[in-house]
Amino acid sequence: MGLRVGIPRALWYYSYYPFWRTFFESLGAKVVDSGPTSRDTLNMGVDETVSEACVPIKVFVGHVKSLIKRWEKREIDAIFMPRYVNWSGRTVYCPKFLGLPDMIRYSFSDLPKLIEVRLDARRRPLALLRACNTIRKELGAPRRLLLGAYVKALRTLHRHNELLRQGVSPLDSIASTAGGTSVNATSGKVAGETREDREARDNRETPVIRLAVLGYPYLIYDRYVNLGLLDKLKNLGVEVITAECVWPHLVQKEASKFIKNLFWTYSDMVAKAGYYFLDLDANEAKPEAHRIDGIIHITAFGCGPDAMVDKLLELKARQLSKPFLPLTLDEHTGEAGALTRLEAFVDMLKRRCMTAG
Amino acid sequence: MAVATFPHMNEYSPAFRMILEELGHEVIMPLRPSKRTLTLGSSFGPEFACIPLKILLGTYLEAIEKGANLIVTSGGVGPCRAGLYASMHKEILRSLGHDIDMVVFEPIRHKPLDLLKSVHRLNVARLMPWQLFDLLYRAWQMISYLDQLEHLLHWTRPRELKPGTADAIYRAGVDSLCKERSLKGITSRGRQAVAEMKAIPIDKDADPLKIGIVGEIYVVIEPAANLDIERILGELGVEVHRSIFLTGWTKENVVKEGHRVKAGMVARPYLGEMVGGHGQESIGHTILYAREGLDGVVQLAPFTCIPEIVAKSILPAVSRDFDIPVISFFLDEQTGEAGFRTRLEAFVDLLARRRSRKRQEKQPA
Repeated sequence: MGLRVGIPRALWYYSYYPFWRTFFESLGAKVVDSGPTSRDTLNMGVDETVSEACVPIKVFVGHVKSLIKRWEKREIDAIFMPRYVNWSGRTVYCPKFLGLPDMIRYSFSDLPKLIEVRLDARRRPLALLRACNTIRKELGAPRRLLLGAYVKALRTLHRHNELLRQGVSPLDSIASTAGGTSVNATSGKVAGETREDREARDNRETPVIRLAVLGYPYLIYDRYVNLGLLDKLKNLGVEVITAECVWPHLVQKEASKFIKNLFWTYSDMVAKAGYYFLDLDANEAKPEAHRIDGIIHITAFGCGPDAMVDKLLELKARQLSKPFLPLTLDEHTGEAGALTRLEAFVDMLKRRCMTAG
Repeated sequence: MAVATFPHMNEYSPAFRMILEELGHEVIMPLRPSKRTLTLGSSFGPEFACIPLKILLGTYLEAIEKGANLIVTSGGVGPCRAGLYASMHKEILRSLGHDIDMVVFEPIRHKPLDLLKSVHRLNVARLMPWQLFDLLYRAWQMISYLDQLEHLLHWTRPRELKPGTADAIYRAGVDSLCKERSLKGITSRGRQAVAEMKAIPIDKDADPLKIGIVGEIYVVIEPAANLDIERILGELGVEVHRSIFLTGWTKENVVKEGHRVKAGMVARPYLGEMVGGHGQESIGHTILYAREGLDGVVQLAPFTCIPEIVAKSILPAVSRDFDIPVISFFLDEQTGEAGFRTRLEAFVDLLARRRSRKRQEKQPA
């Protein structure tokens, strides 16, 4: 039996897990993910992390800790701990991503084998393939499997992104890309579901509010940390659209509106997507589904890059007089308070819609 | 005519003023950051932005009140947020109705042409290249002397016989040095001031505690941002070793940026990645200080500073491996002086006790 590799369900998980799972499985390893975030995970993370770190980092450390516990029970053999530096060739990840393996190594005294690899697409051509080759060596898989596994992983990632663009949540997409071949069937089903949803909404009498929920994937898709925010919005009759729903090249067109691009991958995406959603008139070709009534920006307390993103979005929204709600999350965020703010915001939008129409 | 201003940084303002005035600008001197500066900055800046961004924003607003319409500042390429300050400030100032001009100096290595363009834009007096070179050389000399004086100040403070002498002489030296414009004047004044500092009567047998200061450049260098930590420590009888001086930093980052500096290199086993800002250097300097036999290290960082958070989570391991106590301070507009001072005093007490215990252990009974 191959190596059993644990992958923490935090940070880059929502964007890249399908890639790594396919890659590891093609090389004969077994992948174990750490499961959804729970109170225990978060508490463990808070215990082991410096107090200044943001909640996503604490969540990540918590997931690593839960994987360590599984290692102690001999359920896994290693933890996958890539150093995400640069994937796209253009922007780097948050400095905390860059220092992550070091932070983990010096936070725990007794660690299983860490499969550590530096992912930096800037320096050399095919840097990602080379990084994958390093992993292959660690796994002890034969060289001939590498290229096949890499291509297959890339294709899964591509399918994952395609599903995200259709409005499927990453967790559903991860579940549906699991089988590899059964994707088409499931994606059809998902599309069907959204159509039913849409019909149900059309039948409703109140105007449909469409909100862009912007934030890093590890915040808006982690149900425990964001207190089930997306579900709550759906219950309030709001149609939600996220940055992942837009083709990256459409988002990148917004670059000219910035004095200087943001350095960090996720922040760059969120800021540009925000500008894309806000600036209706500038983009004639924008599909109807991307016209929004307001923006909710979800950010973690003390998030460094978001201090910049949030201010940029706030200034832009004010300039175009679009409703904008920043929502800051941390490990102490109370459910009632967050829900009240959401309700108030949605009520305001509904009233605004009624008076306008 | 452009009325220029620039960020406030320790005592360096006169050197920057000299450069800008000789390039043909009227200059508004940035005020030393005060409570008002910070209030202005934090009311218009992003809530979670680091304290340097807020201080700079406040400084700019105060200078704009006095009529400044051109800001000269530095850029960067990340992943530290400081590289985005300029564009952020510009957006915020525009939203407040101040349409100011900005000249941003980006690192030479990345956009060499932009640098030339910026210089050309600033060069209203149309100085010839050799005149520019001469001007920069004079400014560099002035800054070097300022750094040298401050170095001496840190060394003399815990040793002086009459408390306050070093500060008074330093102040006088800096003031007289900053009035000079000619190379001859700068060097002779600089030498004179250094000689005066060295002539201060000191307790030759004094063996003060030695504490290194590491962290993010702005809060380390600017006394208004770090509640004048060097003076507090100096008055507690501690010899302060500061990891960053402007001359040293410029040499490392502008002139030979590709060159791996020593601090970064020794930090590699602990933090194998340039995380931006001074994260790696903070770890590296802590190791270097431990090797030099300092008694302790203070890490200073702005609240929410990402690179320093990474550093802080690794520093306990460094502290354990190299047997050197480290204390971290994350500073923001809420940091109160009394609490800060108390923690520092406690840290110094701890170091003093630790040192005497270690010395006792060394002496066989």
